[in-house]
Amino acid sequence: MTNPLLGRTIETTFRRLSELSWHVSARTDVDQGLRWLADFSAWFREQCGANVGHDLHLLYGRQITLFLSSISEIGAVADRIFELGANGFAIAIHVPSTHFQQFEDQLMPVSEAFSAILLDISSSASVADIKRYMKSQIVRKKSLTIVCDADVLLQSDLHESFGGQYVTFVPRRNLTDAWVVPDAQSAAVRRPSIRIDDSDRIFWGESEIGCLQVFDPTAIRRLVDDISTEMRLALDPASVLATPQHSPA
Amino acid sequence: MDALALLAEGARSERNDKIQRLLDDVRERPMYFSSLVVETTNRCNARCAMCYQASGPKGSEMLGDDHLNIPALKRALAEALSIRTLAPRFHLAGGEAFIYMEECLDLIAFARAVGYEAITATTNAFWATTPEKAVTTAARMVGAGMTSLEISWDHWHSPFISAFSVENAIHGCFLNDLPINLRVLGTKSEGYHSALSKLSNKAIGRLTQITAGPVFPTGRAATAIPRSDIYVTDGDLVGSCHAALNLTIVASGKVFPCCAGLDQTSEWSAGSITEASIVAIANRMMADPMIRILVFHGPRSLLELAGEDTTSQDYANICDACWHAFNDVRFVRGMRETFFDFGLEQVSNLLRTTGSGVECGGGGG
Repeated sequence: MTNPLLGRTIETTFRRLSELSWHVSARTDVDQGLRWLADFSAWFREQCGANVGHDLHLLYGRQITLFLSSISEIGAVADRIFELGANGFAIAIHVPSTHFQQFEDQLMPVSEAFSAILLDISSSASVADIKRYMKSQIVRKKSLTIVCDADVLLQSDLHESFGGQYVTFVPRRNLTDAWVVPDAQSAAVRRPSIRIDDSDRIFWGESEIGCLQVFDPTAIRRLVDDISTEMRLALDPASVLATPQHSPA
Repeated sequence: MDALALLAEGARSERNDKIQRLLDDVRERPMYFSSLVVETTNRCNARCAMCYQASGPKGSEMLGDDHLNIPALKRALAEALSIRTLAPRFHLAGGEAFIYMEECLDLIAFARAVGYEAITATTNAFWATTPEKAVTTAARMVGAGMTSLEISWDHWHSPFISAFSVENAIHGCFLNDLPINLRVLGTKSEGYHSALSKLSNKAIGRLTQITAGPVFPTGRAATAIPRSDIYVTDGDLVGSCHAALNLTIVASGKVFPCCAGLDQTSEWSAGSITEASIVAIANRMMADPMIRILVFHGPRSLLELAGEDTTSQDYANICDACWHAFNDVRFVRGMRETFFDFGLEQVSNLLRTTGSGVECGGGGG
């Protein structure tokens, strides 16, 4: 199999990524953020040769999680979410226990776009409501990750709602580590992760409704470095060892 | 050719056409492995009723008492990194691999040295008999290169492993910054709560995550746990496993595409690392038409090719169906004949199209 990256210069790789990245400003809306991801996906497929049948294994396991403080604008970007799903992204959505009903109503028309639910349970939530919501998601074959404090987990009988499905619990203190790469221990070390913020995470803003918030504009540069290095390591380890690192202009 | 022979020839042709269609559907699909799983031993200090490997102090009750040839394993570990569709994650398992603690630490260090980026293991934490031992052992694991640890703990482990050891192991790993995934299994009558409630809030809070899942009716559980107590999660067998594969070397040295049941069967394997390179074995497995249909279309497709009525069976999920099928000598022999016949027809068609004029007969090998 021909390595599609052989013969290309690293500068070319960086320039193309920089063009894509340029559109992401310090604060942008969900639609723009999702468009950036779609552009990134198209670029990545082209670069690794997936469009002509090469390196298709690099398309496995690309996961993102939407964090929204309100679900009200989800309908406006449903098409883009479906597009990302069709491009092989696994998309999870964060659902706070304080807003089950609102999320349930708004998500219903687009629920097929999401493969996983990150259920965030506060200590004040009604166990009956949580169990009802969990059952509804299990029926739809959604992968469930539950974020809660240890005492909530031990004092409730949430497990009775699982129906034998796999469910992952994450102690609240681990929230940011767990949801970004929910399957980190078995995940795609060789494949690119998409991370944008000062802690190397893509972050869907909670402070403004439906906004993608990039806290650190320079994170784009690190994203470019990370993705390019990972791609070249995966496809051609020798080129990384032989070529000095560059940064985008 | 008489009428019966014509009918048989028609059925054979129809079956081969179906195989070809199934393969065409997934022609471009890569077989991706999330990790290299190595089961160094099938011995375990425990003998849990739900164990899908039926492991115990004398080895596996299904497959016997095996231990991996370590030089052959190290050769395979180094070679496997050149398999492009294998993520550089090494996962050490058993049985209970850590009853051979020094061997495990040596393998972890070797895996780190040759280039694995994620190095993980599954254990029942029997070794954490005191808080001090737990801290010391976890430190040695981290020092060797381990990046996270999975601890098995549930209702069926508790007669053999004390909650005190599990608790010690959690604290020991936490104090050494070693992420811990507590793996808990359950049935309808024995949920997760009874096992979790034996651990303190402090220990639960120190876990990186808890993964709860159902007991499969395979291995020892097939006979030790009532079928009616097992959750049925995919009884219609609509799923497939291509997104959850692990390249697996079992204690006998045989290689399989998963560690969820097929690896615990005796009638089929892709080869053994004691006899061939793992790269050659993996390449052969990824090109094997039967395995491609199994992982991309699911066991239901193979069972249907074998003429079985899957709707009349009582399978809990695809792993259950796969394990039962590949433990059935008649099924595996039938599949060998079916795919041998398919291969013969392929060769025959190829020769015909290239104009050699050689005729190949049908029939199984």
